[in-house]
Amino acid sequence: MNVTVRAAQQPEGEASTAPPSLPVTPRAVLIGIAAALAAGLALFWVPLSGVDLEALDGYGLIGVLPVATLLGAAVLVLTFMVTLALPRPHRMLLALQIAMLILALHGVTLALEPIARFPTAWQTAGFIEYITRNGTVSWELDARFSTPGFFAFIGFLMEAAGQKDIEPVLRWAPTVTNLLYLLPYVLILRVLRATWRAKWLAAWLFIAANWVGQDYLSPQAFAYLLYLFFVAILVNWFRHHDETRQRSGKRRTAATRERRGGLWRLYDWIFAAKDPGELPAPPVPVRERSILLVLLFLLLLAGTAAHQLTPFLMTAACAGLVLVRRCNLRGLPFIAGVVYAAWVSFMTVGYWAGRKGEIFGSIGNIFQNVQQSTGGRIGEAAGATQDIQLLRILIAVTVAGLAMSGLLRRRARGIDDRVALVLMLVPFSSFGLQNYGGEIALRIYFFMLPAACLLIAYLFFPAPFDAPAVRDPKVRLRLGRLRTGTRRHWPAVAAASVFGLLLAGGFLSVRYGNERYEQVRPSDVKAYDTMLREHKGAVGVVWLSAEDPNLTGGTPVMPWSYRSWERFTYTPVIANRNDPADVRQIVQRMKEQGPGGFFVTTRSHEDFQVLTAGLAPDYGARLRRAMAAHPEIRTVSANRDAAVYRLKSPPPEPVPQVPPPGGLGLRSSPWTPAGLIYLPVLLGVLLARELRRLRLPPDRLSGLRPLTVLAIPLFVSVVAVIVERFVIIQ
Amino acid sequence: MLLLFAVPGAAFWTLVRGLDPVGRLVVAAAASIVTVAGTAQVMLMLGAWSPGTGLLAVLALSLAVAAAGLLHRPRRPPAPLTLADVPRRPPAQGAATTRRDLPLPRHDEEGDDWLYRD
Repeated sequence: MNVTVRAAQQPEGEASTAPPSLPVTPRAVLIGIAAALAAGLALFWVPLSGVDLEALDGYGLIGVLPVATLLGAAVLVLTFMVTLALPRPHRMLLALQIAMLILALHGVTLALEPIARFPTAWQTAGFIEYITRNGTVSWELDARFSTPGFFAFIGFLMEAAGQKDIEPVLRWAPTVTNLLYLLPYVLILRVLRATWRAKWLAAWLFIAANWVGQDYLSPQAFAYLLYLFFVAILVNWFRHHDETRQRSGKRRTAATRERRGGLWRLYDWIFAAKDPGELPAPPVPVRERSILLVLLFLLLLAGTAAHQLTPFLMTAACAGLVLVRRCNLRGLPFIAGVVYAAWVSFMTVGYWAGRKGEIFGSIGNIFQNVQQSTGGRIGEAAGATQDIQLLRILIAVTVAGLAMSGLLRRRARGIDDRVALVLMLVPFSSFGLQNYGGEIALRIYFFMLPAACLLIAYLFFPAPFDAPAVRDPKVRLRLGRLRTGTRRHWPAVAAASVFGLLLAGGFLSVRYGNERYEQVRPSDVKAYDTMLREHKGAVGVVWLSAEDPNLTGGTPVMPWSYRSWERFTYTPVIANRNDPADVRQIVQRMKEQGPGGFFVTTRSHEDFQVLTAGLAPDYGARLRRAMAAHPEIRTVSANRDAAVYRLKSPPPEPVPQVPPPGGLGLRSSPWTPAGLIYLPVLLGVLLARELRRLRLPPDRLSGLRPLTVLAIPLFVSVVAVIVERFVIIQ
Repeated sequence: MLLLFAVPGAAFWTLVRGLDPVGRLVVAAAASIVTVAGTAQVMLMLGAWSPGTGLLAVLALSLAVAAAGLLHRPRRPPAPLTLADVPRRPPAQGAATTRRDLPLPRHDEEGDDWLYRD
C-alpha cells in the first residue's frame, strides 16, 4: 500500500501551522488551588486533636469527627475536582492531592488512636512473631500457616531492618499499601484509550472507594498488590495480536449493511465494529517480554504462597483476558492452575487431610476459619450497626451500577472496553469458592474496584482522547458557554464532584463505622502481656460470647495471640442474657483450664457483643462487678478498657502442653517423590512453551507442538500424583 | 529497609532495558518485592530461617541479575538498509534469461513479517 503525503495547501492569510496548543493555566489559579489544598489539609488535621473517642457510638467515627474536619475533607475533594477542570493536566498537583487523600482517608486514625487499629491485624503480628521466633510455622495452630508467604516476607523485612516492634508497621500499613497499589494501577491506566481526566479520576476513585478495609497488614492486602502487578504486566506487554490487525465485532454483509431499524441498531450496538478500549501495545523486544513472562510466573508463585484466594483470581483474570482476545499467553492460566493445585496438594495437606468429608460438601469450607474473626460483620446486627451495613451495601451496589453505566456509555460511543469488562466480572467467579458470610462479597467488591473505578470515570469522561469539540460558531447552543471551549468539561466535573463528595463521606462513615469495637486500646494488648507474665506455661483463655461461636465462627474481638501464638487456647462461654452476674459457667471453664486459666474481657469486646448481638449496654460492667466480687476469683489487672481475672487457687490439673512447632505438615505418599520430580519438570516445560510462543509468529503456533506433546504425559502424571495423595493420605 | 528493595530493584532496572521508564520502574518494583518475598518463603520452606543468610541471598541474586543485565549490552541498532547493501544479481545474459531473473517488485514482503525479524 502506498500513501502519498503532500503538504496541505495553506489558505491565504493564515500563517500559523502549529497545532493549537492547550491554553495555559494562569499562575494565579494554580496558586489558588495549592492554597485551597493547604487550607483543606489544615482544616482536616488540626481539629482532630480535640476529638473525644469516648463519645463513639454505633455509627463510629463519623459521629465524633469535628465539622471542620469534614469540611476539610470536602475541600480536599473539591480541590482535586477543580484541578480536573483545568484545561491541561498538572501531574505534580494531581499526584500530590491523591497522596494527601490517601493519608487523610486511610490514615485518619493515626492522629486519633494511640496504637494500631483492627483486632484482626494484630493476629498477623502473631503469625509474624511466631515465624521470626521459631524460624518455621506450625500447620496445626491455624490454617493461615498453610500460606505463610506474607508472614515470612514481613518477618524477614523486620529482622533485616532491625525493627523489633511491629506496632508502627501495623499502624502505617493501610496508608503504605494504598500508595503501593497505585504503582501497578498507573500501569493499567496508561494503556487505556481515555483522556487524562478519566485516568486521574479513576486513580482518585480507586482510593476513595476502597472502604472495605482489606488493606491492613495482611496476606490478602499483599496478594492484592501482586494481583495488580500481574494484571498490569499482562495488559501492558502481552496483548493479543488480533487487536492490531482487525477491529473487533462482526461486520454486516453487503445485503444488510444499509438496513436501519430498531433491531438492526441493537445488532450494531452489540456486534458492530468497535474501537478497542485500549491503546495499541508498544513494541517491546522479545528478550524483555521473556523476562516479564518469568516475572509473571514468579508473581504467581509468590501470590500462591501468600494467600489462598488471590491466585484463583489471577488465574481467572488471565483466562478471561485470553478468552476475549486481550492476552496472547494462552498457556499461562493453565500454568497458574497447576501451581495452585500443586500448592494445595503438597503444602496444605495438614489442613485438608482431616477434612476430606467437608471438601466434597462445599469447597468453601476448606478455608472457612481463615476469616473467623469477620463472621460478625454481616450478621444479625441491630440499629446503628445495621444502618452502617446497609450503607455499605448501598455504596457497593451504586459503584457497580455506575460502572455498568459507564461501560454502556463508552459502548454507545463505539468503544469496546473489554479489559475493563473482564476485570470487573472476574471477581464474581469466586462466588462459589468461599461462602463465609458477607466476607466473599467484600472480596468481590475489592477485586472489582480497579475496573469499576475506571468505568465510573468513563461515565463522567467517556471521550477516547482529548480533542476540542469543533462546532459551528454560527449555531447557537443552549448554555453554550458551558459546552464549548475550555469550559466544556465543567458540567462533567461538577457531576463528578457530587459523586466524589458522597463517596468520600460514605468512606468516612463505613470504613470507620465499627470503630467502637474495631479500635484496639493499649490496655487490650497489655492484658495479653499480663497473662503471659502471670503464667509461664500454656494459657487457657476463657472469653464471653453472646452467641455460640461454633455456629457463627466468632473469635474474641481483641488482639488475641498477638505474640506467643502457641501458648494460647481459647474457650468460649455463652453469655447468660438474663443475668450478667451469673458467672458460674465462667468459673467452671476456668477450672477446666488447669493452672493457666484466665478470663479476659475488654471494652471493645463488650461493645461488639452489645452492638452486634444485642446484649444489654451495661452487661459488661455488671459482669465485671460480679467477677470482682466472686470469692474464688482474683482480679489480675483491671481498668476501664480491659480486665483479666484468675482463680485464687487454680487447680494443678490438667496441665496442657505447649505444642512444639509443627512445621508445614508435609506428608508423603508412595507416589509423592515422583510427583516432586514431575512437577518442576512440567512447570519448566509449560514455561518454555510460553517462552517459545513469544518467539513464534502468531500463525505458526504449530511450532509449539513438541512441547505440548511433552507436557501432556507430565501433566497426567502430576494429576495422578495429586489424586493419589488425596486418596492415600488420611 | 529501603536498601533491601533498592538493590534488587536496581538490578532488575538494568535487566529490562527495552521498556519505557515508567514501565521499567514498576517492573523493577514488582521484581524486587518478589525477590525479597521469595527469599523469605524459600528460607522458611527449607527450614533455614536466618535473616543474615537471607540478606546475602538477596544480594547474590541481585548481583546475578545485574550481571545478566550488564552482560547483555544492547546491540547497536543495525544501520538502516540502503540500496547498496542489497545483493544484486548479475544481470542474466541472452537466452539463459528466465522469468526468475527479472527484477520483479516483490509484494510478499508487505505482511507483518518485519514485525518478527530480529
